[in-house]
Amino acid sequence: MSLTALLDVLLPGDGDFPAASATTLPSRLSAHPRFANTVPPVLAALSDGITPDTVRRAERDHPAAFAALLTGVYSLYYTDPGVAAALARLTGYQTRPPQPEGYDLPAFDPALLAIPAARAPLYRPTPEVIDD
Amino acid sequence: MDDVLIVGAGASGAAAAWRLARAGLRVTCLEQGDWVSYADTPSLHPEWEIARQTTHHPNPNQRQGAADYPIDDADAAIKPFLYNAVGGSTILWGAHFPRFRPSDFRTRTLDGVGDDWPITYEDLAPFYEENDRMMGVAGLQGDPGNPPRGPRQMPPIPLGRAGERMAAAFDRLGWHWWPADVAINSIPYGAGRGACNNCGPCDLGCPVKARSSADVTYWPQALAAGVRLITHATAFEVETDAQGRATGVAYFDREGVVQRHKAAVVALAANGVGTARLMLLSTSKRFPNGLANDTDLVGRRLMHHPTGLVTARFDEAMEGQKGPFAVSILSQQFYESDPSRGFDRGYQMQLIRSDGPVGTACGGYLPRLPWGADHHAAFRRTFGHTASLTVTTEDLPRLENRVTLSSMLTDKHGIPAPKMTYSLDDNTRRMIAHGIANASRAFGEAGAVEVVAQDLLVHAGFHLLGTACMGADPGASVVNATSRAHLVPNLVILDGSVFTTAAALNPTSTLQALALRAADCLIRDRASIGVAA
Ligand SMILES: Cc1cc2nc3c(=O)[nH]c(=O)nc-3n(C[C@H](O)[C@H](O)[C@H](O)COP(=O)(O)OP(=O)(O)OC[C@H]3O[C@@H](n4cnc5c(N)ncnc54)[C@H](O)[C@@H]3O)c2cc1C
Repeated sequence: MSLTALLDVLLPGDGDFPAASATTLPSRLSAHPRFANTVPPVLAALSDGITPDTVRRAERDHPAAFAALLTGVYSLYYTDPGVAAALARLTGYQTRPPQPEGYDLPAFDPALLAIPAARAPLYRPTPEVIDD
Repeated sequence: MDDVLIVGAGASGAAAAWRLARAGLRVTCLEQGDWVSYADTPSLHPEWEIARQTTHHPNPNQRQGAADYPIDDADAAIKPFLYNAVGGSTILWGAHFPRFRPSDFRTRTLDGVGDDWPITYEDLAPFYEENDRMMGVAGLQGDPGNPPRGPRQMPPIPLGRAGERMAAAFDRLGWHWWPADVAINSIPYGAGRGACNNCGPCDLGCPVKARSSADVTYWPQALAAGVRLITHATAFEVETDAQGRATGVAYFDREGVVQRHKAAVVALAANGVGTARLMLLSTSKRFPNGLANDTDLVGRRLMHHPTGLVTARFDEAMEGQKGPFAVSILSQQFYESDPSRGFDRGYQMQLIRSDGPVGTACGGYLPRLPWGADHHAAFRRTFGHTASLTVTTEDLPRLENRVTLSSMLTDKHGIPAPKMTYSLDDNTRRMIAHGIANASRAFGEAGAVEVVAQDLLVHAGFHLLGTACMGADPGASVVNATSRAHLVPNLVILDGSVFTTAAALNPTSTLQALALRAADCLIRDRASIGVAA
């Protein structure tokens, strides 16, 4: 319960993006082999309740623990299928993995080099040559 | 007995192993890590970006993989980035492949700072060429910023929207730029290696094998030439005889059992941190302060490339997730010294593409996005709309920047971990400030709507250099011009530890060229080298 409340303070959602509690983030965070243990230290610092103010205080008092939690929270939020779908709708970003398809890009155009290739040498040569 | 025993199967160890075996020498390489599999790289999975925070985190202290040793970095202003596997840190690398300039080997003569190398650019040029052929370089001849070089093996990789826009901005400013030389296949090159499909996260493993990590370039050919590679072999001491000549290496095998391997010549390629650590661990009656360390220089003069980062936001989408993440174009307009700028030496700027959604939120090119009510708006503004310029500066050698043995941390075998002690000097800070101003100006010229600068990337210690420096004077350096220890004639150092100075650009093509040169010198001088009885 308190975890969900904390996550919704961190990622409240808006017209484009879902609130954390409406995603798979809470369940995946609790079970994640690397990130699950970042939760208890921050929750322990929130015994006065969970509001933006108390969370801000926890961040100030425990910056390292808070940063570790936030890495996990952002990582798992943006890999949630619902968030990915929202992102695709909003930006056209293809939320599939980068491989195996990759992306198309126009090939390098050598005409771009007309100006830089015409420059005089910019480097200083070796002042002398020493043999081994 | 082997002719040569190499410790470390990364960029430099692989190159030397190949060269020595091709010349007919009996070569064994000890590597504490394993082969990396490309069948199931994170980039094939929807959660690919999370790997950067976990299994593929570049800092071994964060990653904590089975082959990793901890590094005590509490007193280091720049944190270490490296990887432990066959291929070494090139498993994660961005594959920028610039060469040093001639002046980089003559900083004392030309600018009165640092030290001259005992070799010149011209000495290294043939080895750069050979290394380019082995790794495969995409790029173009004709860069006025550098001496002429042979034809590149492949045409440049695509610049992408931000690259083309910044190229035009540099042209309007009258500044140098050139497509980066990169060790990435823009067309198929090398056995079983395809062309880059612009997927983006090279650091998460390239299933196409387009990115030239040492495990897919040198290693197949080194093995074919007869090198014996022992993985899961963690070296903890270079053994010596009473005269201080190397006799072999003691290591833990995959079962954790101590093994001793004899060789006529020992070559260290464990990178600027791992090699210094191993030398400091290797104490003996002859070398009470560590191997070849009568001068107390082993571990000292640690150099990185302190990096400032300027990230620009554009109104238009830059599509920076397309194309190899770290490479595009570079500018060396401010590379050579100019006393009127108020600092010694110079810097280069490299254009970086942009992050996926997780990286955008967690920060890196930009600070971490805020949490709370402002988060979603900040994400919308940023994602897909940025490009970054590094300000990659030359770090002059200072004795107090060093690798020692940690009194706090040990590895899984109970062997002391290395400790990095590192701070920046004022010269570097002035240089970064100058670079940030210029990178910001270039982005302004390109039409950026917002520019954010980071004075120093703390988490960017990918270039680990200088801790067993090369020099002509045995009293002021650890190895000679052929990369052999002044005090131990049959000890060769292959990695970036030997750098006399660091230049202001990515070091791997130079450290591999040096490794090839060291191998050739060893082949030439072998008969006259004093080996242990
Ligand atoms: C994220 C990232 C991006 C990078 N991008 C670039 C780039 O774009 N361009 C560039 O030029 N450079 C780049 N680099 C740096 C580049 O990877 C290194 O310069 C290069 O790999 C160094 O080669 P090396 O042989 O000295 O060491 P490494 O490649 O690090 O290899 C050392 C090997 O030694 C092994 N080893 C260490 N200690 C022991 C021991 N005691 N026993 C047995 N084995 C041991 C390690 O396991 C490792 O495999 C990058 C690095 C990182 C981490």
